Amino acid sequence: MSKRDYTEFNLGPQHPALKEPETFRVVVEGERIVKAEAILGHTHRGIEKVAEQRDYNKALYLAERICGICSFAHNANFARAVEFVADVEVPERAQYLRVLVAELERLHSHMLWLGVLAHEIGFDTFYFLVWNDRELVMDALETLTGNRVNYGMNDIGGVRADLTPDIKGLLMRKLDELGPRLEKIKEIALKNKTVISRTKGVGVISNELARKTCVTGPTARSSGINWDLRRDQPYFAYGDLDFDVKVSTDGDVYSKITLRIEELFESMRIIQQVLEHLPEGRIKTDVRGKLDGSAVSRIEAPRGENFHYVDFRNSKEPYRMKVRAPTYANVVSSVEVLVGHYISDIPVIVAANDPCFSCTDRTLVIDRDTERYQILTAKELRKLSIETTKEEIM
Amino acid sequence: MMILRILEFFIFPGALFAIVLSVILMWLVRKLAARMENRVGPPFLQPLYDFAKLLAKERVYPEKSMRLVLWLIPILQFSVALTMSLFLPIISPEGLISFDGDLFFFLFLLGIHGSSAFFLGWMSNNPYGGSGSGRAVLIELSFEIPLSLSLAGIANVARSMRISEITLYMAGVFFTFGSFGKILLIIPWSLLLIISLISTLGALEYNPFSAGHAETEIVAGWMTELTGPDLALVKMSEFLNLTNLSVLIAALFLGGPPVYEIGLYTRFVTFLVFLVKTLLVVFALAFIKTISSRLRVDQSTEGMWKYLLPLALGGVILILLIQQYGGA
Repeated sequence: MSKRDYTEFNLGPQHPALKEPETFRVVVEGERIVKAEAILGHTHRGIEKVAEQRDYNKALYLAERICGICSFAHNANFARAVEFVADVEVPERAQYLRVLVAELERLHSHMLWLGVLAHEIGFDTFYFLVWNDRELVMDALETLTGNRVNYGMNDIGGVRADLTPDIKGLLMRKLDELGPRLEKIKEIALKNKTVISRTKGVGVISNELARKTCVTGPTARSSGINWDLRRDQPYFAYGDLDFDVKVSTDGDVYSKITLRIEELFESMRIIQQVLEHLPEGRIKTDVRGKLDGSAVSRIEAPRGENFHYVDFRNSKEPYRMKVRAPTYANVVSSVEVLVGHYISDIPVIVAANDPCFSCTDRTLVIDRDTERYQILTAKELRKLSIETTKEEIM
Repeated sequence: MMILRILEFFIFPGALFAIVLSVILMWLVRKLAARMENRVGPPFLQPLYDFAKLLAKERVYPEKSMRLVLWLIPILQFSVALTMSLFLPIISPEGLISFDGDLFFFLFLLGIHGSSAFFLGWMSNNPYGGSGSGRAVLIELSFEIPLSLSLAGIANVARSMRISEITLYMAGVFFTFGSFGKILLIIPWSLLLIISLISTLGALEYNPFSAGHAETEIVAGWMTELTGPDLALVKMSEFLNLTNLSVLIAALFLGGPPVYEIGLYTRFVTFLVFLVKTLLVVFALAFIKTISSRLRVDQSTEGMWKYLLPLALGGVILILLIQQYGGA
């Protein structure tokens, strides 16, 4: 086979399939992919560095802005890490309220994902249907916290908004309305012939590959890895609540759809329980003054395991903050499975992991051949950017 | 008389009317799809606005592309689509151009239209365009045969290859349930109608056969590098093709514009009946388009060859058998 039979094909950084700038460079032979790589780093914003110059109350809001979809997961995770360092007891009511918002966020995130996936396979009707129903969850979140996207719900040591009986009634109404609609979504997603033909058997991440590439969240659970931090390392009030962790063994995109839809129903169950058994009491413990020490917190974000590390050295500003968003773990697996599929499958496979590249981007350069990696300093980055710009101009 | 004839060709029911009807039908498809998807949908003149805006934009050609082809093929597509519209029975069963075997000349023009997309994508020196043109020509190859077969079946029912004669026959057949064989013909008729509707979706590159310009995969496929007036012409020929195919199906399967003798209003009523039948077909197209997701190119080709083609063949054979032994 001569060299001319291969075509290099770029998906991104600007491409209709990707909602965020990221490059997937594939080499195709006809329509079939023979080589694929992901080029990350287009949306690096230096949030970790900025956080080092803010006290923990302000860094909390910065953490919220790491991601627009799972903002609560980052926000709550950072708050939890700081609470570990400050060694404060968070009131039980606040823990329950955090579960409430986290599960509402999971609902809206999974529905958003379902809509995006439908759009990627060209099924725009389903996309509009799901996003229309998602508005119910968004309304619920807005009533509870005041915002649709970055909720600003958490504070170090508790939460900022309480659940009044009025709001509770409204939430109940919204959820009652949502239940039957979810059933309808489930029926369409799992029975539509064209959806099945585009997703079944596509992008299979085997259990072995899943373990090798360290995937997390629904991606891992769809490949038969029975791991959910909510059950296995209970945080907030998850230990008191009754729910199932769904696991599938197929690993293809279709199993990710079924899994996420089942998780939607589990989230509904959790929310019902929280609304029924919400304990009385305070919603916040005050945290003041300088902190010393470091802590790691992990929670199960809608997309998978979310990792926050903070280090305080007798200061209000974190000396170091480190975030690992779930997409960073998941994107490798999707690149691995791309080889052998068709061009048409790229958006489906990439979207199946629910990638959120804004969460992910760090300036970590990995040499694929030698597998050595280095973190670039600002000076080196500047030099690199000047060099590449020069090359392109030449 | 000469002037009247020229006016017929250029204004009504010729070129200008075809363009107006296409813009309206395109709006209808978009609006119907939008309402089915719970959206508001575009305003009535939106397709026309789009067309006018594109006409006013400048042309940009990519490096190392074949400019002549990028410039000529949109014109070719537009003129072919416009020529096809002259065959359509609109105010009478007879189109402006009508001769024996015009049905297959029509299909031939459709083939030219479809395959020209390949050159357009190929010459634009763009990986998306290259991939899209390959897909477009694959889908083109696969839908054309079932479509031709199903039209051939109907031609067999009417025992004619002339659009006007088939239309006349089909318009009359609904009122003459003569023999048992004729009633039996409903089975292959509905089968072939469904097949031709599905292949029309392929010809128009609508969902589920829109792989040729799948936006989430290859941006705009073979249309990626088209700009300004070129894109406007390609879009307009797409609109025209929607009219051509839906009117053709309405004519051949539903009887198109029949001839009722109601004195002064004959032409008007004929035209109204024609509109209703065309709208039915357009509604069916918009409905299938809305409830399906985009198939991969290999899946749509496979579906066409594996299921649609044998079914179309079966339909034709059934018609022949009924005609032979059912006395239709």
